[in-house]
Amino acid sequence: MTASWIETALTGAHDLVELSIETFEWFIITYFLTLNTIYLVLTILAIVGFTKHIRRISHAGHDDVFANPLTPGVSIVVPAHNEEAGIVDSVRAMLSLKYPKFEVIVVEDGSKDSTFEQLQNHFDLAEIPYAPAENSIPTVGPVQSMHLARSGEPLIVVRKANGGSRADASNAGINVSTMPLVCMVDADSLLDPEALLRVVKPFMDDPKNVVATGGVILPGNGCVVDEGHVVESRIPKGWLARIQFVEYLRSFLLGRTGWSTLKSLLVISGAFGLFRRDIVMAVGGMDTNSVGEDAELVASIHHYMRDRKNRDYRVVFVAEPVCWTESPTDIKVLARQRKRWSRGLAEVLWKHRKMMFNPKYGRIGMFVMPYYLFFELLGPVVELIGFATVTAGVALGLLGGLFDQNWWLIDQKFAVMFGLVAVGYSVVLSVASLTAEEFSFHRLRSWRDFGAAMAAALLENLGYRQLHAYWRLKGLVSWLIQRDSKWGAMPRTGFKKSDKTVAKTTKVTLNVS
Amino acid sequence: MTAGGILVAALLTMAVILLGLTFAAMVRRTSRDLLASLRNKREARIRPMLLSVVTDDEPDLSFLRTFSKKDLRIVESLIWGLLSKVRGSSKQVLVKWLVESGAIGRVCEQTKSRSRVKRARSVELLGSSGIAETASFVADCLHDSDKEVRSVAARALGKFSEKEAVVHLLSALTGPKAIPRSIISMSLLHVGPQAIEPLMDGLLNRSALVRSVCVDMLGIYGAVKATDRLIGCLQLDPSMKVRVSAAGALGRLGSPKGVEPLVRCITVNAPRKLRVAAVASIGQIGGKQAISWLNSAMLDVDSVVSAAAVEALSKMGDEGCIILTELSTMDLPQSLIANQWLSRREINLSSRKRSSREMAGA
Repeated sequence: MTASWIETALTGAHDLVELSIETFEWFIITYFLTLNTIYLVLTILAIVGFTKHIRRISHAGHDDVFANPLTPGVSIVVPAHNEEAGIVDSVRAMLSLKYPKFEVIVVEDGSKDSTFEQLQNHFDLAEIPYAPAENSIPTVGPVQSMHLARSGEPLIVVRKANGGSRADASNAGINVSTMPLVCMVDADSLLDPEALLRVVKPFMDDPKNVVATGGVILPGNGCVVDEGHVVESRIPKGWLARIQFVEYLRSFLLGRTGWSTLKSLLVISGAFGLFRRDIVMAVGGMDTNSVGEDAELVASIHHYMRDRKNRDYRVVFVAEPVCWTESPTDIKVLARQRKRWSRGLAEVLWKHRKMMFNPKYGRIGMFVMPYYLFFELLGPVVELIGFATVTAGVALGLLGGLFDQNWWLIDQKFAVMFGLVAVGYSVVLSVASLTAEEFSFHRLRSWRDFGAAMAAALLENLGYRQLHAYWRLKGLVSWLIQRDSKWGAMPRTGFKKSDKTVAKTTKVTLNVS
Repeated sequence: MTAGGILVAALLTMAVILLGLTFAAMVRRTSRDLLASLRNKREARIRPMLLSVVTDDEPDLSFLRTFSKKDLRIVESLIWGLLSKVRGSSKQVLVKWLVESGAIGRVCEQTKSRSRVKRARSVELLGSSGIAETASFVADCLHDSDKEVRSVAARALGKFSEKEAVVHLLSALTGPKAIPRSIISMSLLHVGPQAIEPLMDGLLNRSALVRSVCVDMLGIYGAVKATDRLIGCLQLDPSMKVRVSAAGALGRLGSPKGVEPLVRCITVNAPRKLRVAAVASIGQIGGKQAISWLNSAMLDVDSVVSAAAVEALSKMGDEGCIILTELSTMDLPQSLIANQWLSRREINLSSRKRSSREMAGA
C-alpha cells in the first residue's frame, strides 16, 4: 500500500518534471547561448582594450600628472565603522600616495570600537568647528565633530552618529571635501602608491567628458604589507579567498574592461572609485536607502547626464591601479556580502527602471541594464531551476528503476556534456583572465601562487558557483519581500605585516611591466 | 550535426583553448624570468662602465667598439636612459655615439613606423634626448593619426626647451586632432622662461581655449611683465573661461596692480566662478586694499563667495584674523565658517612651530 502511494507520488513528480523540461528546455538553451555569447564578446573586447592599454603604459606620462601644477586635487573619502584593526595602516598608506594635491577625509561612523581613538593617538587630532555648506547633502546620522591632524598632514576626521548605511558616511565626507574630485575608498583597502595618478589621468586627458573612473579591486588577504603598502602580492591562503581572487580578477580584468571598451560601464566599485564632485553633488550624493550605493551612484550619474546634460560623457575603467581589499574568509560573512550585492543590484535596477529599454539612455538603457536584469539578477533563478530540473530528472530516473519504470527524462549523456560545457566555459574565462594578468601585470610572482590560482579557477565550479547562485537568489528574494537590509559585521584581521618592517624598512615595490 | 555532436565539439574546443592558455601563461612566466635575468646580468656588467665614463672629465666611449651586438643593444638602451640625466661634455659624447651608431637615425625613422607603439616610443626617446636636430620629427607627430602618439609628441616637444615649440604646442590645442589641455600645459612648463614671450603673443589668438591656456601658463610662470595684458584679458575678453583664468593668474602673479581691476570687474551679476576666482586672487595678492575689500565680500549674499572671502582672510596674517575673530562673534551663517578657518590656522601655525623646533633640535 505504501509502495503504491510512493509510486503515485513519484509518477506525479515525473509528470511535473517532464512538463518543466518541455517548457524550459529551449528557454534554457537560448539563455545559455545568449549569455555565453555576451561573455565571449566582452572577453574579446577586453583583451583588445587591455592589450592596447598595456602597450601604452610605458609612455602614458604619469610622471607628468604628478608634476603638473594644474592636476586637479582629490578628496579621498573613507567611511569607517569598527575598523580599529587596520584603520591606521590604511590612512598612513593613503597619506603617502604619490599625488601632488589631495586630502584624506575619514568619516568615523558611530563605531563601537576604538577606531577614533586609534586615529586620535596616531595622528594627534585637534577638533575644529564643523561648518556645513548651504548645498550639503543631507545626512541621516548627524555630524558630531570634525578634527584636523596637528602633524600638518592633509587628514580630516569627521565623527558622526551612525546613519545605518555606508552611503550616509560617504555623503558626510563628500560634504566636507574641498577638491574637485572625490575618491571613495573602503577603510580596509590599501591602494597602490601610484593608484591616484592612474585613475586621475582620464580626467586630465578628457576633462570635458570623463565624469567617473574606477580601478581594479583584488583580495589582498595573502599579501605582505610594509608601511601601509603591498610589497609582495600573494594569493590568499584559504581556498574560499583564493576562489574570490580569481573571481575578482575575472570580473575586473575581463568584465569591466570589456564594458568600459563598449562605453557601457554601469558599476564602479565603492572600494575604489573616483568621481567629479560637482556631478556627485548634483545627483544628491549616495543613496542611503540602498545597500548597492556604489552601483546606484553610477546609475544616477548616467541618468542625470542623459536627462539634464544631454551631452557626451564617459565613465572609464582603468585596468592598472590596484586597490587591495580584505575579502571574507568565513562562508557566512561571504554569503551575507553576496546576498547584499544581489539585493543592491535589484534596488538599483528598480530605482532606475525608467532607463530600461529606453533609447534615450543609449547603450546603458537598451543593453546594459537589461543584461544586468536578465543575466545577473535573474541568472541565479534560471541557473537553479536548470540545476534543480536536471537533478530531479536524474533522481527520478534512478528511482524509476526501483519500480521497474522508465522514468528517465534526461538524456544522461547530453546532460553531463551540457554541464561540462557550462563548467568548461566558466573555467576558460577564469583561466583567460589569469593569462591576461600573467601577460600584463604579473602580480603572482611565485609558481606556487600561480598554480593555486589555476586550481581555484577549476574548484570555483565545484560547489562554490552553485552556492553563489543560491546566495544571489536569497538577495533577490529579500528585496522582493522587502525584508530590512543590513550591512552586517565583517570581522577584520588587517593585512599581514612584512617581517622586514621590524628589522628595517625596505621600499620594494611591485613591477607592473 | 546533432546536438550531442555540437557539445562534443564545444568541449574539445574548450579543452584546446584551456590547454593553450595555460601553456601560454607558463611559457610567458618562464621566458620573462629568464630574459629578465639575462638582461639584468648584462646591465649589471655594462652600467658601471658607462657611468664611470660619463662622470670622467674627458669621457671617451671608444671601448664600446669591442662589444658584441647583444651588449651594444643594452648599451644603446642605457644611453637613451642616461641622456636626460647628464649635461655638457658627457651628454655630447653620448649623443655623438648615438649618431655614429645610427641609433638616432633609426629612432627618427621609427616616428614614421606603421606601429603606433613604435612611433610613440621613438618620439618619447627623442624628447628625453633633447637633441635639437630631432625636434622637427617630434613636431610632425603632433598631427599623428593616433591620439596617444600625439599626446606623447606634445609631452616630448616641451623637453627640447625651445621657444619655437610654443607655437606648435598652442596650435595643437585646437582642430580635429586636438591634444588635451593638461598635456599641452605641462609641456609648455617644460619649455622654460623662454616660453613667456610667445605665450603673451598667444593672448591674441582667435581660440578662447588657446588664450585661456596662455593666461594660465603666464600665471604659473609668474610672468609679472604680463600683468597689464592679463588685466586686459580679465576686463575685456569675450570668453568667461579666459576671464576666470585671468583672475586666477593675477593671483598667482601677486602684483598689487591686480587688486583694483579684480575688485572692479566683480559685480553682483558676474558669474559665481569669476567672483570666487577673484576673491581667492585678491587674498593671494594681499595688502590693505585687499583686506578692506574682502571684509565686505565676506558678507556677500552668495554663500560660496562669502566662504571664499573668509578662507582668503584666514591666510592674510594677523589683520585678516582680527576681522575673522570679530565675524565669529556675530550671529551670521559666515561666523561658523570663520571659526573653522581660525581653528585651522591655529593648528597649522602650531604644527609649523613644532616642525621648526624638531628641525632645530635635530
